[in-house]
Amino acid sequence: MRIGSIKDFVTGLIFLAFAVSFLVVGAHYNAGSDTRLGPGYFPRMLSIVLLLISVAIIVRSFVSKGEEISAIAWKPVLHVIGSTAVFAALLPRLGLVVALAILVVGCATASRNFKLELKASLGLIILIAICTLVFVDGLGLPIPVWGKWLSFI
Amino acid sequence: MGLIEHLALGFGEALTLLNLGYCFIGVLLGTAIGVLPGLGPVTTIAMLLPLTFGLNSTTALIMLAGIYYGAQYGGSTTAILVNLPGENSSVVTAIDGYQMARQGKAGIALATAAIGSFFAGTVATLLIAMFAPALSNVAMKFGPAEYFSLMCLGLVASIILANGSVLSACGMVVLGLLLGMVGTDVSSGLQRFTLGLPNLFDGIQFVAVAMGIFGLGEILMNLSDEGQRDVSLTSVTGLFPSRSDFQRMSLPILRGTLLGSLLGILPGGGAGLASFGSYALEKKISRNPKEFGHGALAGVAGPESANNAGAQTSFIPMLTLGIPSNPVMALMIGALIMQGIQPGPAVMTEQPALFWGLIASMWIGNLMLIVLNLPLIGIWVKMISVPYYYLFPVIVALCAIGAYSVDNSTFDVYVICVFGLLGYLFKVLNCEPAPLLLGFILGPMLEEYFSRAILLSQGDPSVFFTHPLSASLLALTAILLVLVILPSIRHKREEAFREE
Repeated sequence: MRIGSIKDFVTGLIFLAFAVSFLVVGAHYNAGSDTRLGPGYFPRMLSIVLLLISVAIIVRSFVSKGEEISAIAWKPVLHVIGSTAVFAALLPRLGLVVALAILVVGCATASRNFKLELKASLGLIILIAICTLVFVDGLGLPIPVWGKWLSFI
Repeated sequence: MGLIEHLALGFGEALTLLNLGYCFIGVLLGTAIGVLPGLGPVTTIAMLLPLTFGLNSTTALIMLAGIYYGAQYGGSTTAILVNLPGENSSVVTAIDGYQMARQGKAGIALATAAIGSFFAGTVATLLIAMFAPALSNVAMKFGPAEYFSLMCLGLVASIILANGSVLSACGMVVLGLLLGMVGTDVSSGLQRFTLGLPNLFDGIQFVAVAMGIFGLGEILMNLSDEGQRDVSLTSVTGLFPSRSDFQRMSLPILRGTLLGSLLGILPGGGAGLASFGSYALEKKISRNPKEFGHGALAGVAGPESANNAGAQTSFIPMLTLGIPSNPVMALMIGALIMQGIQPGPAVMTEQPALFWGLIASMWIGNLMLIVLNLPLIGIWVKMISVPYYYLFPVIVALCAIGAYSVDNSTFDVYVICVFGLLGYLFKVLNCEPAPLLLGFILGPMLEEYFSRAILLSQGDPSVFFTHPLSASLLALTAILLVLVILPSIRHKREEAFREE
């Protein structure tokens, strides 16, 4: 059988995965009685609805013709999501200044138009300075500026 | 308390130096992000939400609201000048507005947009002031069954404007509802779907979800599709419309305002739906529909008024019923909850200064926007030429810091990573994220009202259909669902999105 609409097929799979996960994790939640609905009732009902929807979408993906799926651009994903995750990991240890620098450079390199130039580097320094001043000094948010490993600064 | 007294209270509240200042910041920011494509009110409000914690609730809402309707003004500037709508709701403005610019009438188009928006903003403010109290009274009679049905209506309505197929949009709604179930269940104390992670005991942080899907997801989408932006600008002269221009714009502005006000109140409505609806209406009743797409003034006047009216009236369901009609309102509710205010019909009576202050500030904000947009056009135009590769790292940085600062937890930053990836994936698959966010916010509420209704009816599910109000809301929901599925309407919908 040929898949007519790959977009629908993948969408259906994702929904199916979520529906099954919620059903499995919530399997032992008490559904309660007819009058007093337990904590398991609504999620189970929703999971079943999602299951039905996902099956319908998958079935339809075989039947109808859909557009081509555009390729996922992995480089931006890696750079943006990756740098953000690294930011999260480094923030408590190396502080806002270092983590932010890594984040911004990591993201900027995702763009095809990235050029290592003086203007951009200056911009980076200004951005970090402004963020630190506004968020930590100005708004008083308890964000570590230098973090545990650099606490000697 | 009559209308006058209410407005007096409101203006008294709105005209304090603090509130005026934050209103200005809000509309300024709103215009800026409206001008910049790739950054929208949802992401911005989500980023600023944690920072409003220190402000008092009225001030916080005034600023956040300013961002939303300010973005409607800003979006039209780029739509007209460079055919790059900064916002969803300016997409239709670009169709005729850009053509007008190419004919040398950019100034008139901009002026029309500003005048229409201001008129609509004024009327919408009055409408809110007049009808919100009545709506609140009706809402007081709402029981859990009615709230449940109304929320269902809202969720289905959000599917109308969703990209992609109806089934996928339904799936997004249900997925959002399920994700909203993560966390500690209020009634039983059971930890659901938390997988033992203490950070999930209070549920997934919704600001992080919003920033992930709309912020990072949008950025990833833009990056995968990076083209060069042609920012060749026509010079903007002749800002003042002639008498005949005024005549030609007055009726569309009036119609746009009324239609926008109505569509904004609908669950699922707001600026976007309003502007699309107005464009369709103007084209339909125009004496020469052929001119649409080639610089029809009505094609700018109507939608611009509609989107501003819609943006403001979409506050009504949020303020009176506590039900968000679009993701922006969902964030506003989040802001209220953060301030310790439970959204619902009681807000008007318990927090009159907040309610009326917000409404009055909307009009003041509109006034500020007219000044900001017309004389200061040059500045906004310069902003468009900022390359995206300078912009998006800043957005990511702000999202990351914002997500961290809500609960001082790096976990939430990981959450935006996950939802950024998910958001990108869904966009690639042509699934609209807005219904997911709406479902996420409404999930717990939906469950609570459902359970309560069943409890009160002692296990009788027909209660949703025997209560007349609830039954009619559900009937409306069913009609909407059928309408969206009907082939003829489906094609019109797909057509509208293909034009984007």
